[in-house]
Amino acid sequence: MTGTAADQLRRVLDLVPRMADGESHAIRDLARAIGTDEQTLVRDLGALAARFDTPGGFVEGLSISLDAEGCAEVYTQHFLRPMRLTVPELRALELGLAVLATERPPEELRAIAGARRRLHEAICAIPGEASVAGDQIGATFGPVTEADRTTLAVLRQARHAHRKVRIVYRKPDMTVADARIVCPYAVLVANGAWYLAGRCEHSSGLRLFRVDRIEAASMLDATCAVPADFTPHQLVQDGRPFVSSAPVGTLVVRYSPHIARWIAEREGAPLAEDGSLTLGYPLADTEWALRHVLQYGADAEVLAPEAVRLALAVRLGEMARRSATSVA
Amino acid sequence: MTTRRQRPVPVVQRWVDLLAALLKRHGTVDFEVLSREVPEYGDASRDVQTRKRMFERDKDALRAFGVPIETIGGEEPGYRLRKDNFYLPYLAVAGEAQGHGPRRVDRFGYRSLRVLAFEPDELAAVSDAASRVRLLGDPVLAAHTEAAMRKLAFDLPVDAAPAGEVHLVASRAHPDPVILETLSEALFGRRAVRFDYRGMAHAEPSQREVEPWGLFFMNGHWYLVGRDRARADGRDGLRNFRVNRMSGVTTVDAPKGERAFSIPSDFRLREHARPRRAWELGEGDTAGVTVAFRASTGVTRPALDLGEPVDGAPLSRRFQVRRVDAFVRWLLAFAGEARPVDPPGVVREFEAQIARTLAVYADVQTSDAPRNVQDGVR
Repeated sequence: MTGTAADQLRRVLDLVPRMADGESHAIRDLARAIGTDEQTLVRDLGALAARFDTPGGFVEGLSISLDAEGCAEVYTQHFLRPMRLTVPELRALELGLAVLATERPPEELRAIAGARRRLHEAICAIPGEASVAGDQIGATFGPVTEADRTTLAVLRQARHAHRKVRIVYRKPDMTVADARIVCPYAVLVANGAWYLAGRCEHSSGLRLFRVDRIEAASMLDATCAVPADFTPHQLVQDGRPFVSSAPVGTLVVRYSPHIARWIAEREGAPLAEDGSLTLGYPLADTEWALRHVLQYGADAEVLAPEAVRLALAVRLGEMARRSATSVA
Repeated sequence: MTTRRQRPVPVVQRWVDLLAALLKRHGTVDFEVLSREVPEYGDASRDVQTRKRMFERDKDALRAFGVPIETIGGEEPGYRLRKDNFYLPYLAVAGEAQGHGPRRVDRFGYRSLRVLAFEPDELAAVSDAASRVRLLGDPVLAAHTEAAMRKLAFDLPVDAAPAGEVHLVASRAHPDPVILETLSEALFGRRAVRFDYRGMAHAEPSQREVEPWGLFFMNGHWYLVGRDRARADGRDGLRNFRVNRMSGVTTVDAPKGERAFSIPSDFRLREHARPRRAWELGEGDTAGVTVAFRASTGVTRPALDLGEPVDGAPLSRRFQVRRVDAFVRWLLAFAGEARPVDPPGVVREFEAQIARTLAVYADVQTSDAPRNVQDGVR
């Protein structure tokens, strides 16, 4: 089966039930409803009646009218309901349900399993094919612990209900968590890490909170609204989540040829002639810079600012002393 | 039966004729009957074998599309397509007396169709599932999802338009949608693929011929898992390929209608694609490593949920490590908040990595940076 013919059949089986209700429909609306353009839709209708001079089969009981106002009407005795879900359609939704199952708390898994069962009841059963199960495609947005699942559920409910949340958040360098009131705008996933984006009352601004640092979350009665002009892109800088109210400097890092290709691929940046890579990052937090660079060991060197170079040298010295002391 | 050659008609016209001819009957129908209702099958200017082959091709194509046409009998078989196997059941939301249900009852009433009721939270899960798939960037999956949601939206209050509460920050190294489409089709059709692969170990790309066993999306990237035909026999040749590192992806020819390979029934993509830390990767033996964390901070707290607890030491965890170098770099990234304490070999490697990194900043004047660990030997 060619893709074009199969696509056309899919559109026809999608289109006819929407049109054949005795009403006149705007072609523009129909095209939008079935995910195509007006020209394609008219071409599809034409294909159904291509054999008008030698009627037979479906075309014999078919009438199509297109008026000058851009409206169309179809009369037929067939295809008055959509076709059942196909196996690939089921697989696609099952994949989405499997992704959900990795994110949702245990009490929501029943609904996910129930949805899967209903969808299985709505598919075309192919005679002779016993199994329609397919786990050939898998997906996960990022690891989520049991605690994170509960947090994500609260954030989702609050966002849906336009309510504020109270989160207990432990900042990266803090041993004690503190409470914040946040109006949740969105949940972001980047490089496998989950973030809550929202307006923090404590800092009176837009903030990002890593979900795995939220120790507790509860929905409050107070309502709030996501600003109409908010988009998640506001929270992404150079391809990574970033928001800061502090003045932002630039961290310049040189990656050795040993690891530069991986970084270059991730960042979409070209290598230098010697195979190394030098990149700049927005810098608002020295501790973040230390953690970021140290994960690459001696293969990443901070070139600027000098204060971060100094902080790295001091911290590495402390780490060396502490390790030596503990072994001794 | 007509006696003059028909002018070419779109194949979709023939398919809908065939579907209509099958659907209007309760029982089976043979080729003779079909040839009266699908003009091309009754075209007397062609010999009957040619016309029968055309019918067989159409039937196979429709079955590949998902239409459950049954073949009944042997020598002179009959064909059947039951309405309740083809048409979507009437869909409704459970527990809503005047809630959402079938949008309209068609004039002819498909009485054999039953009502399939979704619980409200099941319906919400379907909508959320669709929004997750839309974020993955695979045009084939997206198209199947939209097709499914349009069908469900015929009766149900599901949002067929893209939406969702989760936003995925797209990787910069995102794959070409055309490549994903080719790989998806090869995967479902059990066809091998050939491509140039720019692996990280070599500067120049190499050509691979791979039997696709699965596709998985993890941490913002798509991967193909498949058996590399040139690398080894059996499962030993199983490799993961990052899709954005592929170019020139083509499907390898296979005899028409045949599947070029099979996937072992005990292969589980979900297990294969289980998220793993860098130090868990590889084939070698694992070694237990005990790590002491200084405190439970926002940075270390998630790590304190990994590994196994250590009796009497709430801030220590024991990890099973396959790649010590990757593990040590992970510990370095805690910037002093974590250090290995056992076994001694891992502690030495940790200290050597610190020393090598410190050497990079040898020109930095500090009052307390030790200068006696430059070569990693204490």
